[in-house]
Formats: sequence, structure tokens, C-alpha cells
Amino acid sequence: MKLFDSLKQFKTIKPDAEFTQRSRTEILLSPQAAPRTMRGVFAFLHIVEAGAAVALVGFFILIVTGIFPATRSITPIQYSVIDPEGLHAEAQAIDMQIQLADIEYPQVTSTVAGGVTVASPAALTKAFATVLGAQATSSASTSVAAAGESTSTASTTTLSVDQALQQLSH
Amino acid sequence: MNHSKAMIVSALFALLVAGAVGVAAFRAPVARAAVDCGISASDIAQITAIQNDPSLTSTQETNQELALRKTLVGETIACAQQEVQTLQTNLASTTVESDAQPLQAQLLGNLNDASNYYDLALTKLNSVGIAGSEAIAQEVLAWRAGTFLPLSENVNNFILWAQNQNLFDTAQTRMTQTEQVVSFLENISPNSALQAAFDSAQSSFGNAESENAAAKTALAQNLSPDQSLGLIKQSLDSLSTTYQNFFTVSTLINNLLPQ
Repeated sequence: MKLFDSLKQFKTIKPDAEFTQRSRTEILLSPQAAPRTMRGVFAFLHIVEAGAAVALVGFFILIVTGIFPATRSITPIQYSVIDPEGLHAEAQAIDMQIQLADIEYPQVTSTVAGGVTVASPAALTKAFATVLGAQATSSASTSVAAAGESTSTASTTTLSVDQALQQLSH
Repeated sequence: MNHSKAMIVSALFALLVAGAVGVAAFRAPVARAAVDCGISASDIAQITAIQNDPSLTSTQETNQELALRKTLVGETIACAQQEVQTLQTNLASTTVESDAQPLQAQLLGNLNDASNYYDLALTKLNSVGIAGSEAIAQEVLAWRAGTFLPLSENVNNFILWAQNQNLFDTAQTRMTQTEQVVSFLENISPNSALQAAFDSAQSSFGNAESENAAAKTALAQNLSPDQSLGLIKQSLDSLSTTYQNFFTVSTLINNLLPQ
């Protein structure tokens, strides 16, 4: 029973008043944790900082590898100027057009069935123009006929417009 | 850079293909007129056969010969109409800048006049005899030589000139880019050979441009087709010379850049 009485006395134990005062003071003077809102701002700034660092690294990688599309606008050299393939292709297009211009379409001949070659309508028109300009009407038909002989022989040969008109004009 | 190269090469390949199609279209009128549309010598020979047929009376002979002649002259003029229509189609489908559109419209109008001329000849054919049909054939033949041939050649020259304008635009872009690069390099380190090559390119391109403009003027003033075609050829030759100079400039720039 004495033991129980002793244990009950523990309820009345109190710290020393001076100790209590000193402990309270030390606790109040110790550093306090930052408020929750301030921690959020710092976290956001950390994320921005990390993102900016990654973006900067990526930008420099693109610049170094030359993939960045704006490289051309920030560098003075236009690579297409010294690109031989592009130059060659453009020059080839011009050569092709020169060949096209060199085709004297009025004098082009076309081969028809039977292997007989006849002059094109425009070529004959040109020939007739020469003949008509140089000869009197009476002799023109003879000259035209002679011109016609050299261009068409086979009866199945398709006549040009001018050949037909010439033969139908007399 | 590789991506850009691929784009340039692809674009020029497309230009070449378009050019090839243009060549085919350019020559189509001649081939089509000769093969699809003409009448044969044996058709003409039927006239002689009628004239020499002893079984026909004089009236029968005249009537049959007249009918045959009208048919043949009519078919021939219809073929000539097809030539005009082909030229009209080719010309109308040619894309030109706004400053060349009046000229294009003028040529289309001239082709329309040609078509009207043939319509008139066909109408006249209905009411003539044998001598009249011969006269119409002669008239149409002479008109074609004096009027239609120069017109058709000028139309073809205009189409050729219009096709050239893309080449000139491309060359102008290249000239501008080259000028920037040469100017930049000259500021860093003057190079007389590079400057001389670039000056030559500018000079030949200037010639090409003035000849190109003169060709357009010749077409607009309806000068002889040989004159306009000659100017077109000169402008292309000058443009080709410009590209030879571009090659020289390109080589010199490559040598100046660090390898």
C-alpha cells in the first residue's frame, strides 16, 4: 500500500519555476520554420530555374549542331549560295529552256505512218510564204507544186493543212 | 542544311519535270495537226478520178467534184481551226505576272480573230462553185502564210518567254543572296577575285534582264517572230553565263571558308 501512495504523489510533481521560465525562453528564441506560402514561391522559382537551364542547354545544342532553323537568319553565310547541287539544278533548268528555244518549231518535221517524213504545217506555210512573196501568181503554183513534191509522195500520207490547201487551190 | 538542300533539289526537279511537260505541250500542236487532222493524198486524188470518169455526164462530174472539193476544203479549214484552238488552250493556261497579262489577252484576241476568219471562210464555202472553192483555198493559204504563221510563232514565243520568268526570279533570289555573302566576306577580308567574279555575274544578269525585257517589248509591238525569239535566246544565253559566274563565285567562297 505504501507503494501506491508513493505513485499517486507523482501527480503533484511540478517543475521548478525558474526552470520553467528558462525553458520557455529558450523555446521562443529558437529559429522557427518558414510559413507554408513562402515555401511554395521558392519551389516555383526552383522549377523555373531548372527549366531555364534545360532550355538554355537545348538551345546551345541546336546552335552547335546547326539544326536550329533560325541559324540562317543569325549567321551571315547563306549556305544555298555555295550549294553546288542547287546551283547545278538551276543551271540545268536554264540549259533545258535554251534547248527548247533552239527547237525551230516551224521547221520541225514529223514522221507519219509508212516512214514518210512530211514538213509541219507551219514549215510549209513558211515555205509557201517565201514562194508567194517571190513569184508572180502565174508561176507560184508551179513552184509550190515543186515544193510539195519534195515533202509528200505516198498516197496514204496525211497532208498538212497547207499541203491540202495548196492542192485544193487548183 | 541537308533539309534545305533537299528542298531546293526537289523544287528544281519539279521545275525540270514541268519544263519537260511544257516541251511536250509546246510541240503538240504541230504533231496533232499533222497526224490526227489532215486529209490524205488519196482523198485529193479522188478529184482527178471524178474528172477522168467517162461514165459521168458533165453535170454529174461538176456536181460530184464540187461536193468533194467543198468537203475537202471544209475539213482542211476545220483542221486549221483545231490548230488555233490548241494554241488558244496553251496560251490561256500559261501563267504570267499581271504586267504581261494585257499581252496575253492581246494574243488570245488575235487567235480569236483567226478563228473568226476560218468561220467566215467556211460560210463563204457554202455558196461557191468549183472555181470559188479553189479561190477560197488559195486565199486561206495566203492568209495563213502572211498572218497566221507570224501569229502562231509569236504565241509560241510568248509561252516560251513566260516560262522563262520563273528562271529569272530564281536567278534574282540567288543574286541577292550571293550579294549579301560577298559583301560580308569583302568587309572581313577584301578579295579581288571574288569581287571580279561577282561583278561579272551582276553584269551578265543585267544583260539577261534587259534582253528579257526587250523580248517582251518585241512581242508586245508585234515585231517579227524571229526578232523576239532571237532576244529570248540571247536572254537565256546571258542567264546561262550568269550561272557560270555563280559557279565561280561559289568556288571562291568555298575556298575562303574554313574547311
